Amino acid sequence: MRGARIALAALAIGALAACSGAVREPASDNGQQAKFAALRSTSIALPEDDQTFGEGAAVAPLNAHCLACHSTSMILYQPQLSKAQWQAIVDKMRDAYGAPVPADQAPAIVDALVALQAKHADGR
Amino acid sequence: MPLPIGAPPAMPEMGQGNMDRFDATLANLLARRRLLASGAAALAGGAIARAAGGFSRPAPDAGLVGRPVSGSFPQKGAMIVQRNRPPLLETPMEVFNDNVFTPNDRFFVRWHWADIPLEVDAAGFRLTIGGAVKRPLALRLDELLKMPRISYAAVNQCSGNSRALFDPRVPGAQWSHGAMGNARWEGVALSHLLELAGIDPAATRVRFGGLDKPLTAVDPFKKSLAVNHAMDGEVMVAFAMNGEQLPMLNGFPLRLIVPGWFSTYWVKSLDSIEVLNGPDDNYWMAKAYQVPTTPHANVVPGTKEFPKAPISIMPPRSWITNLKDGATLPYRPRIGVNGIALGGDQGIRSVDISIDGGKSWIASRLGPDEGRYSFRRFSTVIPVLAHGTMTIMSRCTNEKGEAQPMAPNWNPGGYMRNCVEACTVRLV
Repeated sequence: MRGARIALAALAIGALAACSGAVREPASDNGQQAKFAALRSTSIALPEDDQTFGEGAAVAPLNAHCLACHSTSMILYQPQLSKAQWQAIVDKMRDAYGAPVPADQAPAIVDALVALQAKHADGR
Repeated sequence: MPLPIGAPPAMPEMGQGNMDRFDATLANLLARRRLLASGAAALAGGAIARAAGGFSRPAPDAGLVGRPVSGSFPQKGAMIVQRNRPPLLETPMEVFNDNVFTPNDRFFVRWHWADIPLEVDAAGFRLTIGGAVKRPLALRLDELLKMPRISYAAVNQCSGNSRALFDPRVPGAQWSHGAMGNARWEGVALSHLLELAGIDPAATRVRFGGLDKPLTAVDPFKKSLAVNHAMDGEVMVAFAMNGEQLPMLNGFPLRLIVPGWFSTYWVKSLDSIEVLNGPDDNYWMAKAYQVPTTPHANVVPGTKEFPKAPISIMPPRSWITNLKDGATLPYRPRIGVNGIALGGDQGIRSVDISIDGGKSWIASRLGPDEGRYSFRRFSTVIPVLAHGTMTIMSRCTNEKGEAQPMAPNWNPGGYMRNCVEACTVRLV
């Protein structure tokens, strides 16, 4: 079941990639009439967002639990935060935003966030 | 089929519908990574170095620098990409120097949930009005377009605009000053719609929801206003922005306009209006977007516990837009200074300029008045006393006499910055 879904998703992504960033708006034929006699149906395609935190055990918890809802930049652009601040953010993601992260996996995510920032701060 | 990256954990307590949606989104993401892993990414030197739009990975402590500027978002020109998904797009400051109105394709974008509307069928769309009303309604767009219209200019500013300048820094979207924009909005007064539905005399609040949805079983993004505010005749259900239909990322087809109030109330892709008989205990009103009740929403840095209230009215602000902070310019004896100001929920009485750190102020000339909720331009010419570094400040005072404070505020949410901003240039 999941395999089929992924295959479908891959097809859909392929189609999106062909028109990434494109806007499709049916041409309006009443341009000479009063403004907003009608609104035009609209659909958009967002740019691809395939960035991960890379490979390896250090970032695996972040790839697994953070990227379903938002891109890496949400984390990478944060200022230097304490472990307590990262903990509060992970708690908020679980409690208020409903991130499906079991309680016993939260500490690994917090540690990974702290380590990621430390690594970037070291300039590596 | 093995998943390349951790499978979603089982969450039996979540509703099946929500789990399906979460699964589908996760599957999308994993599929994208799988495609990359299967060869496409090898071109990028092994690392996933680049996504569409030239998105690059900066250091997390990059502060205000290092944000990519991209024109790859639909219906948008060059924007500072704070987050690709869901999009957080900031307007570059130079846009505010061009015109008192912000073009739709440069207007900032902010979404909370991963599932944002990407497609709207104009014929099938309905705006529902329900809850404590005599006549629940499901309005078509063409019905709204035939109703009496109102129009005015109003600034839409994120509660966390300028958050990246908080000292000490706070977590959240690291906006500089560009999470704001000014547009001429056109639509139907909310009071007209509520009168059509006939609100219950005991109604307390009116709550608004849009097409964006969380992937999980939590409170969707909803905001509410007191009934008196909702009925003031100014709050608008807008279908036009600067004379055009709204860009999808700014809330097509309908957006709630709450002039003078922060953007968190300006619900995008508005599709539900719900009249309440009691308090609104939704997370987004009861817990999120809370500010200290102290003057300027200011508390001692690090304070966590304080009397709170939902954020509401914007305080006055101003920005010098013709000079770039940190720029080096050829010396001249006089220099033109101009920019934009915002009164908040009031018009602008004055914008004054200081070149001595706020000890004395020079009145500027105000540009055309586009209405109390609009940006307004200011300009003046100031003497340059000597070669070298010069710090120029602008201070807006609104019609009720509220002026920008010199000291920056601090609160843990990074909300409501409105201090006098300094622009330092070198004249050599």
